[in-house]
Amino acid sequence: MPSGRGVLDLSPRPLRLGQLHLLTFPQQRPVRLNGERLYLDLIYGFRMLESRSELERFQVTTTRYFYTLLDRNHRELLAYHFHPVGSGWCTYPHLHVGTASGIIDNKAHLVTGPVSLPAFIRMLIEDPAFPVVSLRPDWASVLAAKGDRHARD
Amino acid sequence: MRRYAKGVCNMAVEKRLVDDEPEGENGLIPIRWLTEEEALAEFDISARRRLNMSGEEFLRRWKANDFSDEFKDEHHSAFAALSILVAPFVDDDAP
Repeated sequence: MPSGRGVLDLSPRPLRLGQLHLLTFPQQRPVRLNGERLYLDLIYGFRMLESRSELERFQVTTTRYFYTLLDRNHRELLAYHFHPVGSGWCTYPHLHVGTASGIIDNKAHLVTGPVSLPAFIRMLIEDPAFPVVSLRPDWASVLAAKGDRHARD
Repeated sequence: MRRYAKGVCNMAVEKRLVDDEPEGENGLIPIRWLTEEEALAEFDISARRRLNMSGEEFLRRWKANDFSDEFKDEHHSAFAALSILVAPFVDDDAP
């Protein structure tokens, strides 16, 4: 799929309080990012809950995620995982680094705190080490509005 | 703060999403809602691509706890993805 505007899939319909929902790219395939030929494989699981806040009636809670950055040959470069159920001993949020160091291979589970999707997207756009170019000039305010806790004024 | 019974909130959320048609809201990427059948079809495509098995086979073996630790380790990334994607189709009281 070429880079550019696309579609996100959300399932299942309808949105129900407390139920697990998943956000993915169509056919759960990676999409090409704008800029150099990098690809993003994305699965984001969340539940909508009633909020205790007087300002907002509902809040979104991240329950699991899979953010993977791939090269042009779809080899994993970075993989931020949080899959707490059923897929092995590692139930905490972690990172796999695809480039083998020779000492630690890509099976190592490098501990992280929970990584929000907006924070991951911000890293790809903001860090010059990643050749990713935003499609819109107001990307920072959009991410901030979607709960990027690392957003700065 | 007004308090609502959970069922009322469910209906309110469903109604808002159905009525407001959020696709493309505020110039953001449109969202396509999938039914359970559509989601299962996409899960099948994903299972075939990631682990070269049908979605039905993955689901059956997942429910039977029929994947060894060695298999999970060997196919860690694919298995991690499918462990998330399978969750809506199984009894899910987990987080």
